[in-house]
Amino acid sequence: MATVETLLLPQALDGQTLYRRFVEANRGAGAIVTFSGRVRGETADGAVSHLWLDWYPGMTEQSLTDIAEAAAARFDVLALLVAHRCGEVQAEDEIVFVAAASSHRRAAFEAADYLMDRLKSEAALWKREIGEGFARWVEPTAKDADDLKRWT
Amino acid sequence: MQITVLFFGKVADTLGERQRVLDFADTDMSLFTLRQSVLGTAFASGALSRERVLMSVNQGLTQEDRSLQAGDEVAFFPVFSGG
Repeated sequence: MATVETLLLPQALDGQTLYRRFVEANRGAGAIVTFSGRVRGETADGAVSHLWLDWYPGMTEQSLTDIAEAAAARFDVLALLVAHRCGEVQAEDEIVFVAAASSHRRAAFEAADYLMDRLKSEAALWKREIGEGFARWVEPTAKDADDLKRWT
Repeated sequence: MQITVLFFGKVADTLGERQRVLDFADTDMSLFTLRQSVLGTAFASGALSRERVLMSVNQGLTQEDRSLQAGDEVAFFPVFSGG
């Protein structure tokens, strides 16, 4: 069974440090795929200064764990890491980091892709975009729903 | 019986609060009844949409026909938006 680690971070997320630690812990892996998601500074409404990611302590962590464990069961991976921010996240800051280690590249690519599609729709987080003169709660888009259907 | 009710995301914003502890004389109550007493006004005014508000009891997602027990932690929140 693969090693699964999930982190919900109210403070800064440092993908580089997580990456080095992940590599160290998975020296035998032939492939490591990582994804780093960042807060876009621009949306259709204008420039975003920061996000507020509301979370439900306990339920939110469990949702990350459920998604990561489903990925571990589905793909032939050695280890998975999911780190997600909560609270206030500034534009251009890292909001999510995932890493997948496997013996061969395909499973690692697919596991990272799957993790991100599910995190975008099913992580128990509520996102508010705040910019100059506007603030709005964001709901999943039709694109997010289509992305999720790729895995059903 | 005492029930703790939590609100998240737009639901918390709309109500202007994140937590409420309620004491009900009735010990036989469904989540439907609780939701109506807490969010009925926001649904009626259109501030919140009934279809877009999810609910949980003791951190497990559930439906409105769920019956409640003393000490339950109930939460109302919008569909998840992910990161």
